[in-house]
Amino acid sequence: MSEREQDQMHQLLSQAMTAPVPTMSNDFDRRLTRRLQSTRLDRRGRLVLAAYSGFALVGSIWAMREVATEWTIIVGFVVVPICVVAVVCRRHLRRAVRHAG
Amino acid sequence: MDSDEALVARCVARGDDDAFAELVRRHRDHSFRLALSILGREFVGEAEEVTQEVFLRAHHALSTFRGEAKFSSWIYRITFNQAVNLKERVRYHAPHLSDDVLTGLTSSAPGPHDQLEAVRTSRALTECMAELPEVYQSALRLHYWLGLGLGEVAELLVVPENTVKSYLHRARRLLHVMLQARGFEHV
Repeated sequence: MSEREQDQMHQLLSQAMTAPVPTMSNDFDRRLTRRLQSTRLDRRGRLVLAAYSGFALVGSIWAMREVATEWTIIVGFVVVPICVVAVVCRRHLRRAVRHAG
Repeated sequence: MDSDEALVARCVARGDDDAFAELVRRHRDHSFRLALSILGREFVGEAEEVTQEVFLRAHHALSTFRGEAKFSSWIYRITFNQAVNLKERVRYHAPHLSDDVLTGLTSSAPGPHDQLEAVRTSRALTECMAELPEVYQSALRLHYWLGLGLGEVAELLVVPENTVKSYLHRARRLLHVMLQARGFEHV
């Protein structure tokens, strides 16, 4: 392709791409802040979640002891699902981060 | 003024929201423009949505940022990937040519025949551009539509300036060939 043809294409592109350049909406920062806040728990939320988890754990152990279940089974029923959820969440988070980068 | 890396350190160590807000303020416009250059002018809302998503992901993954590259490069790389992914998803929902594109094809050519010819050429140009690799399309839009210099385009695409020159040169050559194949001999 000759220099003249490059110049012609340059002219054509300059003439064709003259649409006004859009700008972001004024409430961009406010919306982002709201979305960031909604993705994480505040101090009170963390306390409520911790209290709920504690009660659930104690409640589960108490209920299983009431039906005279073996300690190993109790530990299995309580700990294994928590480990599975933790591993799945961790993998999901890693994939999201890798995908983002 | 704090560097980006210092602000990132403050975010990670102390959860400093003001530091993150400053990072957003510094990079949001560039991220938006980069997303816009990939998605095209029919998708302004989507480009803004990509920019939101980029900063949400960055905030979420800030602790994994190791500072091997510049923070801005990291953000622009996330933006590029996010926008290309979104483009793949919206491609099949997009009109072939939107009203916005067509109304943008007005010409200052003198006679009606010349005007029609100019509109036809612009329309063919838009269609040919859609067939170029994403990075060429982005470089063309950043340079010709958004009016960025070669250095700025290089920063957003995270490549050396000479690579941008090469992208633009090859993109123009490919467009020239495609337009000639469509019968636009005078181009």
